[in-house]
Amino acid sequence: MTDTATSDSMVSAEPLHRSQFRATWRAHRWQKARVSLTGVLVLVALIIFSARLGEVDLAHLWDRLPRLTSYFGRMVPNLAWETLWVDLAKWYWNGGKWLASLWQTVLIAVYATLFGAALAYIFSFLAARNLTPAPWIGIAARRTLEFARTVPELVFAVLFVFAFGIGPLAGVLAIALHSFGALGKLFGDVAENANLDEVKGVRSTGANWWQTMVYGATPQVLPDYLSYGLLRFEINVRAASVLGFVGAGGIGQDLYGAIKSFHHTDISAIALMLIAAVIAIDSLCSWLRGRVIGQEGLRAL
Amino acid sequence: MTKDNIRRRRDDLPELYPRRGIAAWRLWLTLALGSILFFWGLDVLGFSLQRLASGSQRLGDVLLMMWPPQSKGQFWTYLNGIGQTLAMAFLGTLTASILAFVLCLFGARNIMPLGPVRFIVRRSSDVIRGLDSLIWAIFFVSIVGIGPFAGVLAIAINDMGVLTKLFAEALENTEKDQIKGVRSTGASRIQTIRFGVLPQVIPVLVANSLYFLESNVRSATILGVVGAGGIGFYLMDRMMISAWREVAFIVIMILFTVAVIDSLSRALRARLLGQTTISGR
Amino acid sequence: MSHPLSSMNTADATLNLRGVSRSFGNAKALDGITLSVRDGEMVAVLGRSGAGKSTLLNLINRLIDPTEGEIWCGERNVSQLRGRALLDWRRESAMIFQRFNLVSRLNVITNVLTGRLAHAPRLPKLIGRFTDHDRDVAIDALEALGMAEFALRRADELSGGQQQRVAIARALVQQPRIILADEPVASLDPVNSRAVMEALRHINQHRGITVLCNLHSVPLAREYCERAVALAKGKLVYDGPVSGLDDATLAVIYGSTDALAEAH
Repeated sequence: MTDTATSDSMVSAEPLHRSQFRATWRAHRWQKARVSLTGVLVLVALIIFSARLGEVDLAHLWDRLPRLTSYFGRMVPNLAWETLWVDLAKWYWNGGKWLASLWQTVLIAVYATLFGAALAYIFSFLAARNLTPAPWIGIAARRTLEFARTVPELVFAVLFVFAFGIGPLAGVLAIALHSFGALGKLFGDVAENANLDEVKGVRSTGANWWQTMVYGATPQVLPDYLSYGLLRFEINVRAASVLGFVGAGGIGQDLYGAIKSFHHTDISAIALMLIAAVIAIDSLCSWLRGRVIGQEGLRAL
Repeated sequence: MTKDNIRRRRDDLPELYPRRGIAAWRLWLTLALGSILFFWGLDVLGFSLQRLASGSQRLGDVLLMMWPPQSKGQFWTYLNGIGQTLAMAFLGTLTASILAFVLCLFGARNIMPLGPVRFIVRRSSDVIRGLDSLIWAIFFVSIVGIGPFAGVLAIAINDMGVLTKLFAEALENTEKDQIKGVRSTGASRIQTIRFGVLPQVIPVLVANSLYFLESNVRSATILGVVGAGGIGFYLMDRMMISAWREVAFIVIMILFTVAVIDSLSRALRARLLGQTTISGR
Repeated sequence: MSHPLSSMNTADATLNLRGVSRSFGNAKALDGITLSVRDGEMVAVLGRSGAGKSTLLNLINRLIDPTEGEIWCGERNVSQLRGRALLDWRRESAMIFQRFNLVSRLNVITNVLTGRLAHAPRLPKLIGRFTDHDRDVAIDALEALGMAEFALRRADELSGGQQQRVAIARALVQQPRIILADEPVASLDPVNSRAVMEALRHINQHRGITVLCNLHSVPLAREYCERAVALAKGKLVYDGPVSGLDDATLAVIYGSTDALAEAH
């Protein structure tokens, strides 16, 4: 194409006459414009198509906007300064129960992350192309992880509620399975970047595969694994908060009930507790991550 | 080497040997307390061998009932559901990215000098992020009614919170030298942002948005559970009536779609960022 | 006499390579090597980089498998070993590497203890429970190499020479019959090079462990080994006493006089 040829010569060292420069410049501009025009057209077409599929109706949203404000309005509890404590107690009339549910939510996330990470730890080495004991094991492990992370937690949760009955047990198993897939993939990527010299050093002593992984690979990958594990824990707390919608335990059950029965102040009370817990856990985790990485930084010096 | 020598050295270099005496007891005590705590937690969550065993059996039964997967003539309905899911993810991510792009300017230290404004932007994005997109979905279902539109809004709001934080951090991590270079030409504050800051962060923002598109396809598949449209509605519906073969069929459709979207987004990211190594080796 | 670090087996341990070849894709890294190393010898393996020296040692340790030929140790066909027997063979043929190959984030004593992983009991070692005897042996080895005071330091905090001595300690606690040293001094300065070579010679002479040592430098080979084996382009081109390494032989090994100068 002549366009590219001329734009190539633009960057060459040969001096160009002004008219020539103008011509190439124009051609370059035109080509660029054409590319971006196509891009924009594709994007617009995609947006229109998706908007029709997604039944987007901005007028409808505009009509319902008053509902949004009134919805929020009704969520605000009656709090008066003189009777603050009484009002607060009224707002959180079921506080003890909610706190227990919140605790259960966190517990679900803790155990699901622990189980998921433990299994992902083993599978990451099986799945890493450079560490796997045999190529077919590597392929099988990667497919398993892919399946576990693509199926949403909620689908597993429904299945497990059906099999194990209503309650947090199903929730733990569902989130653990999904975390296993997600963490296994991330861990596997880290493991594939491990320094093979160190692994080889341990392998050459006659250590078996498990020992080689524990002594040759684990020390290298552990900080990254911990960091990803903490990140996953944050995600899992949120996931555990909605499992109750399908009967798999946690505060989601209370929240769903409140929304379904239009107990607006209950919704705000539970949501506030949940948000506070999530923010607290997020900051705790980022502090811990900072410590894991901070130690690394010092050691690297 | 004699036994005495060995004993002497074990006394000399105790830190190289397993702990003994009180230190060993302390270790065992910690381990014992830890496992008591661990099993207590399992008990609280309702774990029991009996439940696990009987549940596994039921699970096996269900899995057997899933074979062979069948659409029962509903393929086009399901495909439409998948289409809705994709549309929700796409529009939701796009809206979220645009909103977050505007908001992040108010949340980044090097662009917004007013501390209180930054504080409000950042904290409200924290609050939004604190609630799962499924909760936002229920909320929007009760505002605009059942259907995929509620899903679009839920994804848009939830990701706006996440992306605002990410974008603002990307802005704050820009290189000072390039900005200084632009400012030194006499550019105004707005011009400095336009020519000094934005060129540095746009690729990061686009890459992040594409990542979120990927993960939103996954999360959009379940929004239907609470009535926010997409394939999740059918999935939940078939589960509720124990139509396991159709459930398996839908799950396979989801797996396939996610795989396609993942590779598309990876290719797109590589092109936009001009590097093929982004997803690893 | 039972020194805790001395070799346990007394059976014949002559190492025999019979027509051993190894290809990587289409490239032949080793081509029909036939070689015999008697118990207790210290042999230098010479050759340019890429001549197949590392491949040879990796093959003997069975980190990689030969495409053709057999490796025998006494009555055992090493190239056919599998499972536990293979792991035991790796324990018996300890390796030392140019880049030390210590686990950088583990401390020195743990790195040395990894040399005990192939010794029973193996399962508790997965969670770091080595026996006291393992620890005695490890500290012995560290003391023998003057590294005991660094036992609790992280491996990557040490200098190259110190790391290589830790690597030798790891090899020693394996209680090997053969030590395969792959360019053990190529990353070290002259002083540390000599210290490491001295240590290897000491081990060879006092513990009767066979040493096969890939070397870049001919003078070091002349000083520390009686016998030299040389490879060029994957083929065995010299096998004899170090005194036989005259200029003509070296020209065959190193190809050109430039490379020869590099080797000195």
